[in-house]
Amino acid sequence: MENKNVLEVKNLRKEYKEFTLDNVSFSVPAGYIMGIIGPNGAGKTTTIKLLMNLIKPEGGEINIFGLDPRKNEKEVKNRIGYVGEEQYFYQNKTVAWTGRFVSQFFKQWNNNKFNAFLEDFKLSRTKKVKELSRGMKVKLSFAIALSHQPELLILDEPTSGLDPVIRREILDLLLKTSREENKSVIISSHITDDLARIADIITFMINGKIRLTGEKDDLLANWKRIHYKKGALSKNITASLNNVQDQVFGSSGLTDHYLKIKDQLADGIGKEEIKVENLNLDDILISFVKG
Amino acid sequence: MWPLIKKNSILFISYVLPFSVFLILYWFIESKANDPHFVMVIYFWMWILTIGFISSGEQQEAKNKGYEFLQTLPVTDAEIVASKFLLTLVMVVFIVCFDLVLLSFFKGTPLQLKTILFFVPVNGMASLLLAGLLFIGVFKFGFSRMHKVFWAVTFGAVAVMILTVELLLPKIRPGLPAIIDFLTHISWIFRLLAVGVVLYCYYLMMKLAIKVKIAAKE
Repeated sequence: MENKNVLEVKNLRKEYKEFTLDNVSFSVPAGYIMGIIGPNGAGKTTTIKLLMNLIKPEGGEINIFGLDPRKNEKEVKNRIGYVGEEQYFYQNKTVAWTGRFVSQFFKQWNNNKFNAFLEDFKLSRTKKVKELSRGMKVKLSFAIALSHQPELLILDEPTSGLDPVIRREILDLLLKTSREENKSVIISSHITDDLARIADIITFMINGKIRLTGEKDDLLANWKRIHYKKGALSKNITASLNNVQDQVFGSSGLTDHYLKIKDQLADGIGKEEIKVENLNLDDILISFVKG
Repeated sequence: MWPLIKKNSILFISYVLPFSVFLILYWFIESKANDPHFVMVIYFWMWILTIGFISSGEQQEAKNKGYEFLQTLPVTDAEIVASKFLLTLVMVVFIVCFDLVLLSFFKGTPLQLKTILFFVPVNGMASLLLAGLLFIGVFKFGFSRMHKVFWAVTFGAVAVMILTVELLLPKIRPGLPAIIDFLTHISWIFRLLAVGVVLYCYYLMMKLAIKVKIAAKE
């Protein structure tokens, strides 16, 4: 995979009356899938709306394909496939009309690809948009987003509210598209299972701030819950643990640098005084939310 | 911008043309078509059609969240606003031409004919400025807040029409020939200049509407 970043965000800031997106910075290398995880109201949708130039930022920089999307809106959007949380289409128009209408705006629209997606998704060309279920509307959004050869896909909670079958179908399509066509993807979700399945990079967002960003495998390798009997851990390690709880077995706490302390725990693990439990993205998110 | 104009032109075809056909039928059926009241109806019909055209278009956009949809596509706010202004201009020019053709069959006195020739384009220019103001209002406050203003302006136009016909016209009738004579003798250069000024104002309104739309992004 290339390492060149397709997207760079620096110190992005957006203020609302009761919410501030504060100093958000991250980057997405070409060909990577980045998942933004956070609870409702964390700022995921605001971040994505800012990337899409749907709202104005109060400060910070956004760079997509080396361009400022506010100054080069048409060029940047021509190279982006977007699927939002809500599917906005002209409700009284048919699927075919929607495809024809949208195709006129994109330089690299591939009609054969669009028709193939409609067939794969079993979307009737003659059906009106208002007659489609939410899942079918999401599929139409994906058909549009993928039919103009985008280099970057920006997806805002595309799978929320969908049944597991359609969710899996969409995630598989996304993974296939990203891997086979080397497309970069930013996907926000509060369904951590979805992101665990497809993302390379995970960014945790809480209360308008980025709490952590890193490669998913590194995160999962470093974030562990350590169960230990009293006196089994050194003071340094005990002090570095988060969310420490007293349990029947002894105590337990979270570490975010397991690989660094792994060797120091080996003895305790051997004596069965220390047990290490793998965490999933949900556990990490909850630990952030609970502080 | 062309796809946007094409999309909105469907509204033009489905809204303005049937009304125009309706007016022709009315003209043929109404035995008193030569009545000056009919001319007044045509004048105000232009205002109401302009308001109705913009209102219907914006209602559709609001109902479908059309602007939110368009903003996800490679299209700028300037193009979205300009397409609306351009189509409204085409509509007003169409109605002015249509009215002039329709009223050319009007068998009135020379004074009445002069009045028609003068006031139809004036009405067209007024409609255009009204359209510009309404668009700025829509982009500033959103259609949900502005639709009450649309109703108020529509009722206001009808009220003005009734008052003009029933109250004002009889009172100023003695002095009307002199007023009309003065107005219709205004030089063509000034008339063209007035058209130019109105078109320039409309252009400035469009630029303001673009700014307002961009600024209205949360």
